[in-house]
Amino acid sequence: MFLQRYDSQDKMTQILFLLSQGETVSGEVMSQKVGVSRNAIWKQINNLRELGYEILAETKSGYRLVSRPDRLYPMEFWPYRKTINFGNTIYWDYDIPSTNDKAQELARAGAEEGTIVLAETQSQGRGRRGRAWQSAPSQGIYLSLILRPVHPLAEASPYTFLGAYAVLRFCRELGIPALVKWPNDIHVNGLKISGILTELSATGQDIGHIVLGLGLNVNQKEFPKDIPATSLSLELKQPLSRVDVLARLLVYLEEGYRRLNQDSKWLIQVMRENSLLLGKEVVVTGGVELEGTAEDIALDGALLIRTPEKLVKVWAGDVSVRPRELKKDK
Amino acid sequence: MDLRDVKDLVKLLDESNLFKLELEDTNGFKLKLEKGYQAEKPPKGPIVRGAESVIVSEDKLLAEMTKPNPDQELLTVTAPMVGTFFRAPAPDAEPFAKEGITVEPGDTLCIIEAMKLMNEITAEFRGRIVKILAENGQPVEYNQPLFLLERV
Repeated sequence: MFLQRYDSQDKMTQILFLLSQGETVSGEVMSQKVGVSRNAIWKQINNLRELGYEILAETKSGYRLVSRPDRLYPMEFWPYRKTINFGNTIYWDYDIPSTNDKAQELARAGAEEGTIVLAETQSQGRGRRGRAWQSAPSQGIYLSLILRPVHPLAEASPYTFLGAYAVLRFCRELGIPALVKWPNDIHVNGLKISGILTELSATGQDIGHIVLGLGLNVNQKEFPKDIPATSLSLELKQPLSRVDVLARLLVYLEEGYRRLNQDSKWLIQVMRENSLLLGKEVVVTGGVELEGTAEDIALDGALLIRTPEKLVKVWAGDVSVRPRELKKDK
Repeated sequence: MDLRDVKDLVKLLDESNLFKLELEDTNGFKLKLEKGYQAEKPPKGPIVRGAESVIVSEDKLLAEMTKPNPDQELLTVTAPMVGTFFRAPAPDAEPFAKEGITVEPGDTLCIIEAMKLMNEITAEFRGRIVKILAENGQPVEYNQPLFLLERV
């Protein structure tokens, strides 16, 4: 079952809210408060059960919520929401092959700015150039956000840093020593905690829409041995409420986005100050191939690399810190 | 800011893909640097110096293409930004566009990647792709011609 919600006042959400008070609520009371028939209440209760809510029906007294599933349902999110526009419309499904593809589809059909697509898992979650992103079911946040900035296309590049900014701020708030690996991967002590893929659809010389795809490892307890990754819960040694994480992340995304629409210099400065690469010997592959010292991040966001011959501006590619062993060989 | 800073900036601009650099510091000092165009040919729009050679070949192409039918309308799709030109969504995927095919408005022609921002460049009109002018996986400059399209 997929859910698409525009409204925190919809019937299912209201019923869930009444049940969330921790007491048994009669069908009649709910029917009065929500303003629908008792039969309609019963139907919604069954819908909630189908979504994984354990609800007991007691013939005399009414319904009681026993447990709620760990899902990023819109109606789970609403009570936590702290944003103005981001997350006002939510599209959720258990398995979405790729939340970015779904968001592209919604954006092309006219979805408004701030619409988010959430999945518990992605069967074809992807990163740069079609690489796979692991989406362990209900362990992380797999989110795509639709943006419609009014900006010329030539100035679009700083939007790629927005996701990294939000994750960075959030990690720091939790006391996790996160750093940004240019352009927008977030690492903690050499392990990847978040990956971001931003896709832009241009119309002429303007930005049509941007889909900001963000994968954040939240409650994973382990990763396959060949994947150097970590999660918020591994770093903090305790599980987190994903819906709370989502709500707080969206605050940073929204705040960063508003500032970015005015000016992008501050964001470049944040990227410089929290960079994993600057000052290090790096190797660039894919497109351009070169080695040198990561010297700075230019105001347009490009990585400046000092090679023995010159200063090279890198716009795209895979950048990795050169392992010490290789250096010794030379 | 002293003269040495300005010299450094000029050098930085010269070595970069940028054609314009504007700065303003907290004291209100403003500096605007622009790369000069090579003057033999009047540039059409803001063309980056590095793209000159490609422009020449495009002109040649245009000349060749228009020979059999001088009224035929050929249009160039140029790069709206600096980045890496990709013809397919992934290395093992089919290219978005091939020479000879007809594209509809809104069809994706290519992706230009800048800092993991994947920019989908779409067709603005119905047209047949006459020639693909940029090489897959290679950096492209601002305004560099990417496709030659014939309006159909």
